[in-house]
Amino acid sequence: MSPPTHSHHSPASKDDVYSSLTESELRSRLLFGDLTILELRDALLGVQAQIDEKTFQIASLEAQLHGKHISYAYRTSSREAEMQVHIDNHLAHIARLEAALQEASISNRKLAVRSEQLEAIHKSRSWAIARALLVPVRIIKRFTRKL
Amino acid sequence: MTFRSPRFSIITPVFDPPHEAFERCIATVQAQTFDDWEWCLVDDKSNDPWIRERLLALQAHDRRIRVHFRNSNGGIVEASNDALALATGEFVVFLDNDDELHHQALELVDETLCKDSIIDYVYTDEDKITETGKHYDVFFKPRWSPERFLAQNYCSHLSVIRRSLVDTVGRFRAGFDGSQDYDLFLRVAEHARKIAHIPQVLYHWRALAGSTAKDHDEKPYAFVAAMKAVREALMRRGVQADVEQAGEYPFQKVVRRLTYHPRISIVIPTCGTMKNIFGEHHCLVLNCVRSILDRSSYPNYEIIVVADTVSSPESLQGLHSIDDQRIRVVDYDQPFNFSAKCNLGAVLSESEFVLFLNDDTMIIDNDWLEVLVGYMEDSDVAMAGPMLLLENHHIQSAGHANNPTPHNFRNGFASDSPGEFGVLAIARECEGITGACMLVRRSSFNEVGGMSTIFPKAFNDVDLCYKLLEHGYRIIWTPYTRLFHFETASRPDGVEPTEVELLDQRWRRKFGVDELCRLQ
Repeated sequence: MSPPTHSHHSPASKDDVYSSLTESELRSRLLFGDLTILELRDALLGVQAQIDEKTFQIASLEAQLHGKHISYAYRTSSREAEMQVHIDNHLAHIARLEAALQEASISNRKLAVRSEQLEAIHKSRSWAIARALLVPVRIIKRFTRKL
Repeated sequence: MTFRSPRFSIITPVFDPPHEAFERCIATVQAQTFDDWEWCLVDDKSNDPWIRERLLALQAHDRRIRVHFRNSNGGIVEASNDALALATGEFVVFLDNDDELHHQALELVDETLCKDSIIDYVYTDEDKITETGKHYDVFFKPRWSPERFLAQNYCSHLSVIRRSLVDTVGRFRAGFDGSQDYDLFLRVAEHARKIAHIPQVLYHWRALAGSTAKDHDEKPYAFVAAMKAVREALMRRGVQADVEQAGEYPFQKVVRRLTYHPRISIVIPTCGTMKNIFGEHHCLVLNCVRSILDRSSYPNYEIIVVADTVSSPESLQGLHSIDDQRIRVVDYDQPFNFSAKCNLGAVLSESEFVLFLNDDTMIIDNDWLEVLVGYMEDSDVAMAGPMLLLENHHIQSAGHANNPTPHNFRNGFASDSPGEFGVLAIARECEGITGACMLVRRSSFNEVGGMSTIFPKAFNDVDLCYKLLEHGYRIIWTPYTRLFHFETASRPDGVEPTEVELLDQRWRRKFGVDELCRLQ
C-alpha cells in the first residue's frame, strides 16, 4: 500500500493557504463563514417550512374535497369561528338543559300527583274499613314475630 | 363480580348552594352525553335542611351518585378532599355546586384524552352566568402557558386531572382557601406529563353576590392565598424570585432574582436617521445609545451599532465621540437589509444573549435588561420582549398576535389598561415579539439560522419567532418593563410584495390561528 499523497484539497494545503493571510483577513473569513452558516441554516429551515406549508394546504384541500370542515386557519377570523362554535354549542346546551329541567319537573309533578292519590287513599273510608278488618291479622303477625 | 372504575369522578363540595342554581347544576350533570361517570358530593354541614333531602334523593335515584355528609363544617379544602376520597374514577372533574357543565363536557374531554394516553391534565374555556342564567365574559384561553399560569389561574374551570396524579401531589392543602384549586393545579403542572387545552366553552361559572366570579375583590383572602401558592411553587422549582401584586390588578408579578449577570450584546442596526422626538430634533441612534448608557443598571453589556456606510456623518461622529469602552461601531456597506445587519451584529458578539434594538427606541426603566434576562433562566425560553410605547404613551406593541394575520397586538391602545383577562398586565407566552426590541438566546438564534435575509425590510421578526416556536421554544412578552418605540424610523417605509409572498409560502398556515392569544 502506498502512502497518501497531498492533493491541493488536503487540509495541509489549506493550512498553508490560511497561514499566508493576515489576522484581519482571517477574521473577515471567519465572519463570512459564520454568516454563511446562519444563511444556510435559515434556507434549510425555510425549505422545511415551505414543505410543511404545502402539506398543510394539500390536507386542507383534501378535507374540502371530502366535505369535511376546513381548518379555521383559512377563515378570516378564528375568533368569529370560535364564537360561532360557542354559540352553536351553547344553544344546544340550553336546549338540553331545558329538556332535562322539564323532564325533572314532569317527574316531580307525577310524584306530587301520586303522593296526593296516596294521601286520598289513606283518608278514604274503604281504607279505614280494610285496616279495621285486618287488625286481627296484624295482632297474629306481631305475636308470631315475637316467637 | 369485578368493579370497573368509571372514566370520570365529578368532585363537588356542597355548602348551602342557592336552590335554583343547585338544581341547574344537577340537571347539567344528568344531561351529560357521556355517561361513564360518578358524582362524589360532600355536604359540608349545610344549614338548609332541603339540601340533605335533595342529596339523599339524588343518591337513591342514581347509583352513580355518591354522597357523604360531614359532621362539622370543615371548609372547601376538607370537603373537597373528602369528595376526592370517595372518588374511584380514572380522572377527577371539579364542579362547584352552583355552576354548570356544558352537556358535552365529559364527552369532549374523553375524546381529547383518547387522542393521547399521556395527557394528565385537561382544561377548557369557560364563561360566566348571572343568577338569571345570562351568559357573559367568554374566556378564550391560551394553550398551556407556564409563565402566564404563574401570573393567573387561567386554567381554572373546567379542570380535569388524572386521579392518581392528584393523589401523588397530596390533594388540596389547608392554608390556601379561596385559591386551593390554583395551589393544586400548580403542583399538578409540575408532574403532569402533558397538559391539554380544549378550545371550547365547557364550563359556566355562576357569578353570585360574594363569589369571585362576580368580582375579585369579593374574596381578598383568595388573592393572598394565590400569591402564597405561586411563591411556594417557585421555591419547589428552585427559582429565586419575589412574587408581588401586578400593579392594582389581582394578578401575580414574578420578579426573578438573577443569580448571575450573563453578558448581553445590544445590537443596534442604524441608517443614522434624524427625527423629531418629544418636540426636539434628534439623531435616533445617538438618542437610543445615550438612553441605554444613562438608564441601564445592568452591569454586563456591550453595544454593537451596525451602521450603513451611507449614514449621516454627524450620527457616526456623535457615536465615536461617546467615550465608552462598551460601544463598538461596525460599518455595513451592502444594500439595505435589516436582517443581514442584525446577523452581522450577532456574529460579531460572543455574548450568551443578543438584544436586537431599533435605533428609534428609548429606554424608560433602569432595570429593563434585568427584567428581560430574568425570563431566560428557563432554558426553553428563547426570546423575551417588553411593552413598547408610542410617543403618546399608547401601546406600539404588546407582542405579536396572529389573528387574522401577524400584527403588533393592541397597537394604539391605552397602555394603562389591564386588557381582557389581564392580557396587558401580565407576563405571558406569545407567538412573537417585535424586532424593535427582542432579547434572544444566542444558541437558539444560531440553531434557527438567525434572521432570514430574504426578508430585508419586514417580517424578519415574525419569521424568526415562528422558527423558534417550531423548534419548541417559548417566547415571553412582559409589561413589567417598557420602552418607547418611535416606529418605522430605523428602516425604509413599506413592505416589499416579495416579502409578503415569501412569508405566505413559509407560514400561511399560522395566520388566523393564535393558540397563545385568542383575543382579537
